[in-house]
Amino acid sequence: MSPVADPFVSVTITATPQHVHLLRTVAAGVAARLDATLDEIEDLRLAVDEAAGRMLAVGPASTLSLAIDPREHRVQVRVATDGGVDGWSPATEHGSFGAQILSALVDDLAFTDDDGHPSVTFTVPLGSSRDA
Amino acid sequence: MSDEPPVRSADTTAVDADDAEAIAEAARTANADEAWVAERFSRRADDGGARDDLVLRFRPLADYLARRFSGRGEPLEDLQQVASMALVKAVDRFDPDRGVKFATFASVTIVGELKRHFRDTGWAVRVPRRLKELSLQVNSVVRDLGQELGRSPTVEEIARRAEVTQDDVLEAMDASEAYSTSSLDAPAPGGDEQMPGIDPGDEDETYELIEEWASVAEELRRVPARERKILYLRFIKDRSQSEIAEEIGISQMHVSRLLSKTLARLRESAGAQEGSEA
Repeated sequence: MSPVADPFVSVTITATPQHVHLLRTVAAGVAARLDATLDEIEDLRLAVDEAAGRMLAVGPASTLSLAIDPREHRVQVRVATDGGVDGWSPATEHGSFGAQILSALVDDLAFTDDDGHPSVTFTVPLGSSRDA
Repeated sequence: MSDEPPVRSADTTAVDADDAEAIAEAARTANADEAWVAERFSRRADDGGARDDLVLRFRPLADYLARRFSGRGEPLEDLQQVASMALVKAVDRFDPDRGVKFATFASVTIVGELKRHFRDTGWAVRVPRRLKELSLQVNSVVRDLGQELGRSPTVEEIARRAEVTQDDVLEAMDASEAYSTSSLDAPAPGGDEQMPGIDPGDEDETYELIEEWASVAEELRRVPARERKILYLRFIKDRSQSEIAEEIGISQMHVSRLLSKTLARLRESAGAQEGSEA
């Protein structure tokens, strides 16, 4: 159960709200194997849900993707779509309700439109069970 | 019950013949001193003490009925909370002049609310029996381990204690979520319900939430008191879900469900607003 041995996980699904639960489930599965507590897993699930919701709200897209990169005592998460960023900017996104929820749940929250597609990255601390 | 007129619950939830036996038995068990009950109801309007007396006196009735409905996939503590909320509602809405005994009226109301709880959660229809039992088991292990460890348990710890695989635990968590989303579009009628242990009129907490989330202020006011309390504890007080579960007296599964449901509701309201501004 060493977290370092767990590989980087990446999933791409059709960009529709009906499939977002798959991303939540994957995130929970990865976190569970990193010795995350239920509280940590629940926060991660809520965060992935919220992030996916924000990305889908940017505009039409065909795919929605989730990448989880386990680090020491935390996971780095990236949620993105392959859609455009017309009329959307990371700056205005930061004032949204979704961003407020996210910033309460995660660390290092950042929205970008670097590659012409919207994405959000954040980290979630895990493994408080090992500190105790 | 034959000497009593037909009875309706505090709302219009239908109660079928299957429940008649449970109701009759519960009402018999309550065995209340009718004069004592009548005296309390005569003071109910202007004496909070009389109201509390009645709720306390009939609490065993609520617990009894909650236990009758246990073993169907919902944690007993959640059923007990539904039942005691229904009891409070029954005390507030009982009409002593109707010639129905309060114990009967309360039983009908409580059974109605319990049935609605099962219907709203969708448990009964969508989730296979194995998963329901697994979820119940996981749920009780989560609570026990949480108390023993003094922190939220890991999936591995839960699996070991419940003697199931980690995948089983994750599947149980998913199942409990699957049945939450089915109730998304069915907010409990009545909205702001009086909740034991929860002060619905805590204006300071509501105010703090609204200050934090001004963009959804209007919708926040419409969110039921218990859900608002959960939002306040999670996002203003930064409590974990397991701490909130303990404070409110419901399972963590239920907290998780209510939280995702309420956030989805707020998100939708924020989305509508942000959309109209754009």
